[in-house]
Amino acid sequence: MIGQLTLPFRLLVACIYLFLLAPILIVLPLSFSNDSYITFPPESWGLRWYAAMFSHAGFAQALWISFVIAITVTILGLAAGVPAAFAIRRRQFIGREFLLNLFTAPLLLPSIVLGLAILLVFVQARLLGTYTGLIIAHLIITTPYVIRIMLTAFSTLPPSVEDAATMLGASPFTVVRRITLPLMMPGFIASAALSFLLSFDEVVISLFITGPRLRTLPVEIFDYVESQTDPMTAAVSVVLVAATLLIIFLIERTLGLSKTIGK
Amino acid sequence: MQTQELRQVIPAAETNTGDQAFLKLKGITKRYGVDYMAVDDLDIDVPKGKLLGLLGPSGCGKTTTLRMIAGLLDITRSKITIDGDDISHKPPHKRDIGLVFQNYALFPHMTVAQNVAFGLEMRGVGRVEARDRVEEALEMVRLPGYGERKPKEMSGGQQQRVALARALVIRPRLLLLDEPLSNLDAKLRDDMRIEIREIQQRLQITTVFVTHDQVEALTMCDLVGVMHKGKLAQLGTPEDIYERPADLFVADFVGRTNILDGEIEALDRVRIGASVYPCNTRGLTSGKAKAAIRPHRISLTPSRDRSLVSMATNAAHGKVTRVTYIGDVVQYDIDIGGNTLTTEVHTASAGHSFQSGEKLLCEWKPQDMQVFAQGSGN
Ligand SMILES: Nc1ncnc2c1ncn2[C@@H]1O[C@H](COP(=O)(O)OP(=O)(O)OP(=O)(O)O)[C@@H](O)[C@H]1O
Ligand SMILES: [Mg+2]
Repeated sequence: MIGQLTLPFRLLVACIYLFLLAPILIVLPLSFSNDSYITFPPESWGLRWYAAMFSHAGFAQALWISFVIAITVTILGLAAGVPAAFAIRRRQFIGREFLLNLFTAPLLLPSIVLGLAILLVFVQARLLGTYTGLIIAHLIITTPYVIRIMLTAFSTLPPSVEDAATMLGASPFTVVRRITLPLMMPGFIASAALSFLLSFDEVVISLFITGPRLRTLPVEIFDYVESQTDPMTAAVSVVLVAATLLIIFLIERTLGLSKTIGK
Repeated sequence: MQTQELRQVIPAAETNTGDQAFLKLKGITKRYGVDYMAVDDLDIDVPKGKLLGLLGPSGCGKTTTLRMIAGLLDITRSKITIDGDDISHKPPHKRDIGLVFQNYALFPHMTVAQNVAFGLEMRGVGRVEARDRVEEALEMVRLPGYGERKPKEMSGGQQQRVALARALVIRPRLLLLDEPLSNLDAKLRDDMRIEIREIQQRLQITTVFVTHDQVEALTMCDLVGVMHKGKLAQLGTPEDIYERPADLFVADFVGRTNILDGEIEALDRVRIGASVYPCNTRGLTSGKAKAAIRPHRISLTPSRDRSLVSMATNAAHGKVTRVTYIGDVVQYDIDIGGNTLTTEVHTASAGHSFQSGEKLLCEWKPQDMQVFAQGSGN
């Protein structure tokens, strides 16, 4: 297949890859700079900023906060999204279409609009700068993705296998446990990974609602870049990219990524 | 020896209780929405150990009927009993019915052996016994040693046999098959037809077989129910259905048939065009009618004088308008003065072959010409 591509097309593909990877290609060398401020290419090399990052109290704490929030959001998002997708796909009820559209509408709204709306509501509800507030805000972003992915997972379930299990004597609960859940596992893993990464990565909405004592890592980085111009943020970025790649690598290894994201 | 072992997989049901109904469907009805009758008041009895074919065009309600028997679909109204046991309101997983789906529906995340063992596991059969029964069931469908494969590593025909083994290994009281052969190629379909029939007869398992293929229905089944728009048009032996269709729909749907417009002149007399033919009007004595004649029941001879033909035979002069070679038969379309008759001659027995434009004489027996009132069975 690849062998048949024409030269201009290959060049185009190469350019697109270059464009997508350009930030990493610059950030990676930059993170190994020993300079006190950002210059490219760096004048001196070393691990100074990696060391600085790990001893920087703000980053370490923000990393932990982001991690806790992302895990919580992932679990709650699956708990809400999976039954929602199940009901929308399997049950007939009035307002089904409406609910589907409502649940997936946040996918279409610009995050800045969403952020502002959340801010207005959270001021009233005194949720600004709290774990609860951040988790709710992130759930608003991640749950539509979970619902979408699980809807796809439900519809790619081979037809009649559940009925076949029923006819062989499996009770409804056993059918779900032995047939439905195992076949939907790729969908679960894809939604979990995506929720985690979306929450861990989220910056726009978090900017609106984080407070001085509760800052997620992306917000911390954002603030840091605004006030400082040293290469520490490059080191932080490289660590984040590496962590993301690790997660994707693990999924790929255990399941095959193409299988979870869909073909 | 082989047969002896197979008997153990599913012991032949206790001695056949003759023609007494084993599966009884009474007034089976499924309504969708307010007034769409997908299945309308079906009454069918199937004797123990018999194979019933449900035959009908697409959308006539065959699958709906099967799913109601299985319990996968709520019945609007009706009663289903198996061996005197009313199962109308039993949940499907307690009905003890084996079902083979059109798309096989094997569990893709399990091996063939795990697929076949699933029903045994649900019944709490011990591991050792289950393993033996799975192996025997796979032998029965001629797939010994395939247990460790995944379904996707098998061909369509093999998957189909796994599905059959999976349904049979639980020794169900009733076996339901929903167009199990429709995804297979012609050759495999012929083989599987014989294989399924053989297993069904050996195990004496009462079976309902859904198909839209009349050859399957006629060749495999003890009884055929022809369905039309949710209703049972006719229930009978394959011979009944083919030789004595109850209405025009059955005559037209089962087998190839010439349908000619005519008018009944008197009992067993029909006028078609300018001629009046002796026929079977099935008790009708007047009115507009449709006459049905099977293509292969018409014999062809080179044109000769009508007076030389026995008066007991119907005859019509005609001219060949088209010759179609189909392999084992040659099809001649013959214009008999306004109407076209399609006829078939076996290539092996064809003493004479005709050319397009040639004049000839068509002959058929009066009892092979069935006449139905216009509009019957629509
Ligand atoms: N859920 C449903 N809601 C409304 N109508 C339905 C539903 N399911 C089936 N039908 C209708 O009921 C009729 C019978 O459907 P069924 O699936 O039993 O047909 P079938 O005889 O099995 O056809 P085929 O040979 O194509 O499989 C069809 O006209 C179909 O459109
Ligand atoms: Mg069907």
